[in-house]
Amino acid sequence: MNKLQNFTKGFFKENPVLILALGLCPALAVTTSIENGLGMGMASTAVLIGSSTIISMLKKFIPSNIRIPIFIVIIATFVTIIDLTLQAFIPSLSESLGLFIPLIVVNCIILGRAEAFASKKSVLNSMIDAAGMGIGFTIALVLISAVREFAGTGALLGFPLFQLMGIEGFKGSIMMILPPGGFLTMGLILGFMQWNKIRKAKNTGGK
Amino acid sequence: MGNIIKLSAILFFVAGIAAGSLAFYNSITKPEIAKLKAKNEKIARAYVLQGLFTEDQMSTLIYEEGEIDLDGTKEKFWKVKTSETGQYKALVFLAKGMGFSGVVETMIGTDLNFKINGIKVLKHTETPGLGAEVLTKKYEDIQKHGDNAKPFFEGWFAEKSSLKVVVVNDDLNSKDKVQSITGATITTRAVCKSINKYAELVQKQMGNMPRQLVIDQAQVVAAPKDAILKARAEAAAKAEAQKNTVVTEDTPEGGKDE
Repeated sequence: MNKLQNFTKGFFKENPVLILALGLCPALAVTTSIENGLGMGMASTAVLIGSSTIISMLKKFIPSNIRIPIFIVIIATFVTIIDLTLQAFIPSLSESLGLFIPLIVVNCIILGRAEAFASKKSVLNSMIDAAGMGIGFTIALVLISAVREFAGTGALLGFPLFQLMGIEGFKGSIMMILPPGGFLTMGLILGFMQWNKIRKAKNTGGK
Repeated sequence: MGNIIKLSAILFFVAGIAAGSLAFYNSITKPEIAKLKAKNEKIARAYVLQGLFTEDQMSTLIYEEGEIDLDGTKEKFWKVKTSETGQYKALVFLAKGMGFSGVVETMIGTDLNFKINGIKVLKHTETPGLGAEVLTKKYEDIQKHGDNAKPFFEGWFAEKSSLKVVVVNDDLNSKDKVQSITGATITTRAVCKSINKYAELVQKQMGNMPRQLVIDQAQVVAAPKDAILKARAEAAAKAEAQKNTVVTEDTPEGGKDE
């Protein structure tokens, strides 16, 4: 697999949320608005790149018996650094993501990539993989949150589209912002991805 | 056995490095976070006092910090005076209450009778679309006031007594009732109850101080602790003397010359 494929595979082909079904908890919890989805995606990407790089660098020195606790310590360190950085320099994002930043520690995408990829491959490849997967995670979050924000409040990125167009009275369906809306949106998007995959396989098989 | 010690040592070493680097990074961000917090607190205090003072006065307000004791934890409140007259004019305090999905923190500005001038929701983790409406600004307000538009929820509290403010569902007859946000009575109730609770504690704290301290505190500023203690002792002595007087006044003879 060349480096470009390694980078782009996380976008759609092996998207952590939409295909691998990893990291579903934050994907359901914070995707109430695009701003939150984007912030969470970027914070996770930063942690993913940092931890994958360090783990790949140290892979020869980490005894396999205690690799998981060591991975978690490294990941937790990066998460704390990101948390402190957001609190100090981007407080508005820190406030809106709240508890979900510390919870990146237990996001299975990060431990998953550390275990499945970074602990086996070279530093450069691990970084590229982490960046690709992080971007894929961000794409999935933004996609889900765009649907939920629009259906739930009639706004996109905080702009009330309907009111700006002069259409009064659109209230949005609050359910879409609440947990059921998250499950519904994610189910529909996952379903669409699978349907698309099967359709493509059939088409290429037909040829 | 040797293996266990070796693995423990490695884990200890890794955790040590992680802790060290975090301590270093914390030392960089800590002053920034503290600065930001102080700045936000200052902005919030000015926000909840809007309208009580003229603009000139606003820039020279003196905030004197006090503490209330909430089941062992100390919480801050401020007594506010203008630098011109040196008389206390307002109070600012924080209130925290358990909402639907977490703590809702508000800052409240009141006059000395605990009548609310303004409130500001500082922090919450309520459900978007329901409890999170506490921060929603109405579209027409944004059109009218632009960036100065305030969340509609905050407006409901103006002129209500912070000691008595209550959700309308709980007490229809109260003159200090506020509506509850549709679908978020728990959040509204949490805000009202926390304001009541903290206002009461501030009142108690103020009550502990001799009355003259609230009205005239010129020396208190110079040496707050000593002066408070001295003033307290004086007030206690005076109260005791008055009590005695009342008793003697009851008797037909004697005490009249007092």
